[in-house]
Amino acid sequence: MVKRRIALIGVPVLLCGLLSACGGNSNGGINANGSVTGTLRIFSYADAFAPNVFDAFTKANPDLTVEKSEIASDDGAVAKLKGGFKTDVVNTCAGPIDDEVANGSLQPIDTSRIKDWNQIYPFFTNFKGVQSGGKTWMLPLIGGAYGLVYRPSAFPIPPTSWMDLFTTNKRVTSPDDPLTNIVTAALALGYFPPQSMTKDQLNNVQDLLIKQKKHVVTYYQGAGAALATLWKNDEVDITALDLSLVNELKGQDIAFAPMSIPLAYACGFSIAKDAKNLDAVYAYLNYALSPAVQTVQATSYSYLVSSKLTVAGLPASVLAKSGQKNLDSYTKAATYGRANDQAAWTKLWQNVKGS
Amino acid sequence: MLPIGYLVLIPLFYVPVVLLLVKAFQPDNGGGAFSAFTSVFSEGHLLGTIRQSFEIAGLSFGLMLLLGYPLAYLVCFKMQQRFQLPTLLLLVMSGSISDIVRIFGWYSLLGREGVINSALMHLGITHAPVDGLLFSRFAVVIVLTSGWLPYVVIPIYSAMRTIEARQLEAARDLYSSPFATFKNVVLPMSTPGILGAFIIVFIPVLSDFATPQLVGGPSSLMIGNFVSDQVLQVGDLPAAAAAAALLLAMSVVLIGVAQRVTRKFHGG
Repeated sequence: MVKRRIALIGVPVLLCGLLSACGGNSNGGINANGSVTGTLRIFSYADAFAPNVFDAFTKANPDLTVEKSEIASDDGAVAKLKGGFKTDVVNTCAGPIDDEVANGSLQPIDTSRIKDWNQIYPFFTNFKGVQSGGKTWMLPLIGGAYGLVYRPSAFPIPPTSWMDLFTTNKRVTSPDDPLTNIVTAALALGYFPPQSMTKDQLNNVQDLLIKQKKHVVTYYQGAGAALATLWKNDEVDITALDLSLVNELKGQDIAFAPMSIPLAYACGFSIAKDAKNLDAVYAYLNYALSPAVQTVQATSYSYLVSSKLTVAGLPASVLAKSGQKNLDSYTKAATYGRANDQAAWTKLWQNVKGS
Repeated sequence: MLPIGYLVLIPLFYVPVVLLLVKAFQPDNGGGAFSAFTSVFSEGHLLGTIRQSFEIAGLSFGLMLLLGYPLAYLVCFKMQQRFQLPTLLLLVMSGSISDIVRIFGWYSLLGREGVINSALMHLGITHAPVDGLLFSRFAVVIVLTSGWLPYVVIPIYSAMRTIEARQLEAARDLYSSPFATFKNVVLPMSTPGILGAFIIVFIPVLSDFATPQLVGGPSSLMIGNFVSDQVLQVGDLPAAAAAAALLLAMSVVLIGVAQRVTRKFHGG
């Protein structure tokens, strides 16, 4: 009898335990004070978890359990989601989001649940990948524009065009990804927009990247930390990047040269296909779009921010430094997005690496 | 009845290998059984990458032998018994340091502002930092050697331990020179250890991808990088599985050859 009672109680308990261990997610709810409950899984780059960015959210929602997972690279995140990694919210950017949508890793965002959606600049809402097929896939939060980051001691005359990255005999580095390399080579050769290159143009891009290899020290992996290490150890002189590294290494031998046609990007959060606790998801998305969070991103990281409400409260010096004042001109920039023929791009990049 | 070891081997080794082969021979895009292999070989650089992987793994293993064999010899024959185990333990500990930590340790040695360049400049041998110590094939070989050296020393040491003192005494009694003793007694009897080290070390080194990625130059790719790129950048799992299956086949051949040679030395 006792055994049977144990079984009656134990089996459901065990099943509940197994379900939660296998990724079963509490649907959560909303408390009377407006805070959300349950569990929220966030898969993001580390900067979203920085205390000055994230902690206010957990303080405002004390009954919410947050499970954080860090993204190491765009490609890694796409592959992990495709492989069935369970999360509710995923940090993504224009570029990888096209793959995530194609892979069925995301669900569309209900913009009516984003309180300040109408306050987002069209530059961001119209960015390639944010909306497609009549659906919204990403809440755009931050952006930036690539130029050339260089070492002034190696370049007494600052670089002025993308071609300088390919004709220099100084030490070059690039991320190990097809997109940045192919787009910058295309811009150097004057092909615009890079995403619609012809076969001949792609061949010219490949040749240019192969010629550049003798000056490439390494194709670095992952996010900015690897590049910062290379720069601090005096291993490289020039790379294509936004302002982030220049701000991080302020006062060191580093400077930023803007390009006449910059390479613009936009990043934000998307909702994963299997997200269940949507109250918590939308609470987090609204929090991420709030002026409190975006102000930190604009001031600490010099990102372009997506909300007009944030920009209204930022000092002119911050706006000038991040380039927010030039936002309208960035609509003519090349966009950091997947190619029309992505397979040709990945093959091209494999050819360059294997050459 | 299956030996108990198979209860572990089947789910943890054979099932993943079978799944890998299924993926390699049954591509998602509905192509023929060998289409993933054809696609992999249509990447003109794969053969070059395989050749480079063998060169890097061969050079690394050669360097490991050059350093590891004398070390094993010294520990086995020239060191007091009570110091032998602690020395080997220290070696094992050095091999168990995280790869990332060890690799970044080499940054501070081989980098432009690293210890070696600083010493060269301080001694007036060079006037500017030498490029190419880091982010080169040289760096890949050095870092692989440092990481895997303990796994070369230990099997060779174990083989040397089987050499009995009386065998060495017999050689001396027959007026054998130290070199002849080494050549006719120590080397043949420690060869199974060298072959064991080869099996343990060469194959993982051949398939390494983190080391070339972190300290190699833009042209220091190995086959492990090719597989990793097929998964992470190209998103072509059948091609990755086909390349991994090729690597597996090469490993099986190498192990087979090493086993045959080992048997020969054991007189089997």
